Amino acid sequence: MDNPSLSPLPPPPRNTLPRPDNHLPSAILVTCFCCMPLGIVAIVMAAGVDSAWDAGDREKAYRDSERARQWVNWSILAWLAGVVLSALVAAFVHYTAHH
Amino acid sequence: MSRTAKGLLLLLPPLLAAAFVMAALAWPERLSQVVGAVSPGCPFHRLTGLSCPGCGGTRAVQALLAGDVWAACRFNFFLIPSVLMLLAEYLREAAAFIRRRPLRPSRTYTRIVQVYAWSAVAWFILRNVFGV
Repeated sequence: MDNPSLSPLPPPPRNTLPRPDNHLPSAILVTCFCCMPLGIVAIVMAAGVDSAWDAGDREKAYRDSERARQWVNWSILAWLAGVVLSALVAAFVHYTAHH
Repeated sequence: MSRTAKGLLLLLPPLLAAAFVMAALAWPERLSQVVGAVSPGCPFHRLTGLSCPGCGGTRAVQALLAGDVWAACRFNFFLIPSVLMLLAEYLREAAAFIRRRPLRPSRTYTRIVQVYAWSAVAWFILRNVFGV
């Protein structure tokens, strides 16, 4: 009656998605070296990836992985902005002091 | 990001490091002044009066430019593991780029970074509580 070999439908696809990268090392490094507030958000996101994956929530795992990556990038950009800004301020101070 | 853009971005750190070393050899005093002018000072120290793990970094670099390694270590010893950590991260990125493979998550590397971060916390406590 319910013979699977006679079913016209193929078997459901096996779970082939890999566990997403949690970006935890990058999140910790940008917290230490770039912008701590944004880096901490990245660590929180990174910490959510593995627990969501282990709980079977693949969508949340991938979403958190992507968010962690984005916060890492924001932290790097904030650092670059800080470097450019301090160089500009130093150049301005130097200029006004000598003219 | 395109492969060309990423390649150009990966060329920046060694070029900047080489430029810094050459400038340090050619005009150490002048470079020391520039470092002091560009460094914004630590906003955390200004607000709280406490030394953050990076505090003393500018003075340490200036001491290195003056050739005094011991003084540099006293201003901020943590500069050494920090530079090694940044170097490790750069080498990982560069190796993945050259092999044309995505950066693979590594359990060992994650552990090393975690140890580094906890040592930063320990260093932060030690230098403020015990004045190390």
